[in-house]
Amino acid sequence: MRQAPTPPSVVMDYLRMGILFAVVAVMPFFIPYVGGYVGLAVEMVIFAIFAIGFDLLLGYTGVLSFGQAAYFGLAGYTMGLVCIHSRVPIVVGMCAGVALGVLAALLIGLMIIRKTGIYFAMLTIAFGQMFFFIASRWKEVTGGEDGLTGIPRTFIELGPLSWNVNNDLSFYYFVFIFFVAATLAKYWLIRSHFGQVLKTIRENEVRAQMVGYNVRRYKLYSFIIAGTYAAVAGVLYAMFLRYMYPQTLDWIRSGNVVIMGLVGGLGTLFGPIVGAGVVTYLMNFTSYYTKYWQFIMGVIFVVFVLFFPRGIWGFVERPDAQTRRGKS
Amino acid sequence: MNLLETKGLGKRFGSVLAVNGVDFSIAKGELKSIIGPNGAGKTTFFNLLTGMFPPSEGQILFKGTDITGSTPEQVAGLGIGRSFQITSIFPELSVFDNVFIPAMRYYPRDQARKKAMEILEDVSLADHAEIMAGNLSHGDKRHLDIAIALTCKAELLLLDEPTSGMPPEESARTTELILKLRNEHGYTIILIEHKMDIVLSISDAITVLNLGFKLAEGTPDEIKSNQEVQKAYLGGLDNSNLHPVAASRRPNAAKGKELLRLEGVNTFYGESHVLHDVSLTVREGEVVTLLGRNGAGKTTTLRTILGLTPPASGTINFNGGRVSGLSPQAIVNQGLSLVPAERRIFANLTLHENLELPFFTKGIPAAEKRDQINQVYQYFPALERRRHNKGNKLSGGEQEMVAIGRALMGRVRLVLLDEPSQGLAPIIVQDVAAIIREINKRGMTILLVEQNALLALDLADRVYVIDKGQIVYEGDAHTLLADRELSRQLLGV
Repeated sequence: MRQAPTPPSVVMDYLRMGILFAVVAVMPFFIPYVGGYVGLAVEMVIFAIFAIGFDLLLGYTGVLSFGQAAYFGLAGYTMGLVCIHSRVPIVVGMCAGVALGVLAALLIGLMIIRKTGIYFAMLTIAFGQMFFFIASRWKEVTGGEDGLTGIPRTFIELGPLSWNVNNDLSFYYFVFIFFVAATLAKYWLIRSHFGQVLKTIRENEVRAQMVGYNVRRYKLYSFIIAGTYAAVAGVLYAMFLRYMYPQTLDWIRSGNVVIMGLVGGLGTLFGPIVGAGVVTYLMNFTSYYTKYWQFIMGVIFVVFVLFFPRGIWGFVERPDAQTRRGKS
Repeated sequence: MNLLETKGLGKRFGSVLAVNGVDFSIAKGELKSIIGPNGAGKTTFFNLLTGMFPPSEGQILFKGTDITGSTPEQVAGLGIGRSFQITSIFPELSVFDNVFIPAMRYYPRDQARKKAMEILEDVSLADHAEIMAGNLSHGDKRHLDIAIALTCKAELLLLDEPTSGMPPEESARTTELILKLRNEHGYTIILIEHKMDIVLSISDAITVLNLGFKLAEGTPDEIKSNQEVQKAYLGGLDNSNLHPVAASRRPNAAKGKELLRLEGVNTFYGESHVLHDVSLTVREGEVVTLLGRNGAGKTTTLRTILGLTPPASGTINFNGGRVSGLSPQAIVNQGLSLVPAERRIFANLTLHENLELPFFTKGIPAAEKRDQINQVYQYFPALERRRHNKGNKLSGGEQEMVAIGRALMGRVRLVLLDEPSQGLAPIIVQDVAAIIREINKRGMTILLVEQNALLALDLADRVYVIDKGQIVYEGDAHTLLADRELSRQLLGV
């Protein structure tokens, strides 16, 4: 009787993650030499958190959502409103923001998870745009098109671990902790039984159901987890800008995270991180030099979809196997 | 005691009864087959058993417990595993993970690893455990599909055409596997299969479905000699209703100019070799029938002619010029048209608009277009009254007429008809037959594909019989019709 194939070694994975964390940890010090600044590094890492969670949904479960910015923006606005209108510590505002984002993902997920493919994607856009219009029209609360100003980013009160995040560099390391946690959590998730089942759903939903998995429940959990990542990123983004504006909820923002996943490589641990970094950096870089930067981003996106469907990381891992992965 | 039992199980899709009052039972350790012509409701029956959709009527009992209305995941949890007619695996996962991840639903991780390897040993895929499932050969994929069905601590296995798309040698390997699963591992098995040699050799009992009804049930020998079953396979019509006048009908037909010629055509679906060296000719003014059971390669032959599934080798000539290698549009523009088995009427266009559609690309003058459409209304007076009805409001018979009418539009020289009798009541089948005869009389050449042998033989001047992708008979229709022994041998039952 042949032995079962040995499971892939975890040592290599932790080694790779260690290298990744080390590089990200020193990024604020080298980014000025490649045309960036500390604030850009903060944005790159925040969007990496967003993309890591989104990949669990699209890359692992094969579910395409075009409305992830809804949970990103909702969490950011909530955090801002709580902190502006009350004197609670920032941490409480952050928790409130994330909680509301997750709750919204749960409720919307419950309503639409039965739908599949394009219908699901359209519904996610519809719900996302609903939040967008609320944010832009409900002027008394959200500040409307002017945005919500005055979101505090001063002092994280955690007893002995209190932290002044007032300047960008110290805030960067605050975000960095979330990034490390987000990456490790994703790694554990995708190696778990739960993560393995998500892959079978991506590959063949009907069959996954026919071997006994409650596919709808798994998809719902995946949707909620992606929403949680989006909410965490949204709260950090609100603090970073000290400001929220309706476009953070727009479907274009949702589309950006799809692009990050595709460019970096869906269905991999490192791909979405690389994608978020590269796309955020390029958007900043090209928009500095030309007002036609969106055209350039479009070309880059098309090139990736046509020639590198597994994204940067997929190409690095297996340059020979450039076939489409997932259902997107 | 019966392991599984259905009582009056039925499923209605709109006005169609796909499965109608089926009583079925299987005892532990038995191997029962379900056979029946295309559209008999076999796969729908499996879908009902596995909870893919709820039955409209009747009951399903598993080990004496009513499981009607259970979800697919609940059914799997009870120990009913199922394989699929169209290979259903997880293509971008390793062969091992294909079995291991489903097994984790029922066993703790370490045990699931062991169980997965055991299952892969059983289906002879252990050596391929680390290969990506999508890279397996077609036959191995079919076996992996069965392996996945075994993971759910299955007691009862539902196998849906496990040998589909396999050449004979591989079918034999699969047959051995099925017997091993039954004899050595004690699985109870319900098998849907079209290959009669397999069904007759391994089944304890056979259930025949036809148009959703259970037509007959019995041992292989009883089924072989059952008159009703022969009729279902050889045609939904009574012999007496037909007028085999082919011999006297058109003595000069054979002298017509050669219109279509296939030579040594081989066609693949991916790795699955479907057509093996198929050669056939159709002359001007003829009705030629390509006869064969479900899955024999009939529709594939039509798809190959039209360039929808281009041949891997061999040549196809139409009207003196080579058409193999051309795009489907280019081929159709030379004067070929298809009446698909599913009819493909545009549901949201009116009947009249459906008939006008072919003219948009053909650049034919308005007067000629009007004449041709009027001609169709003459053929099918029933259609003229319904010309403003939407496509989805037409009955099956009307849809077939529209599909035929639409195929005559434009400057068409050869009509390919794919199973015009499919899903139609016998009385309507006769109408359709009359129309085909009429169209042919007015000069249209027809290549007809059918599994309803009596209808096909009644209409045809010449006939080809195709089995497992190979032409196994070529000759006169009435010779074959007269020789019941030969037709029985060629057509299976």
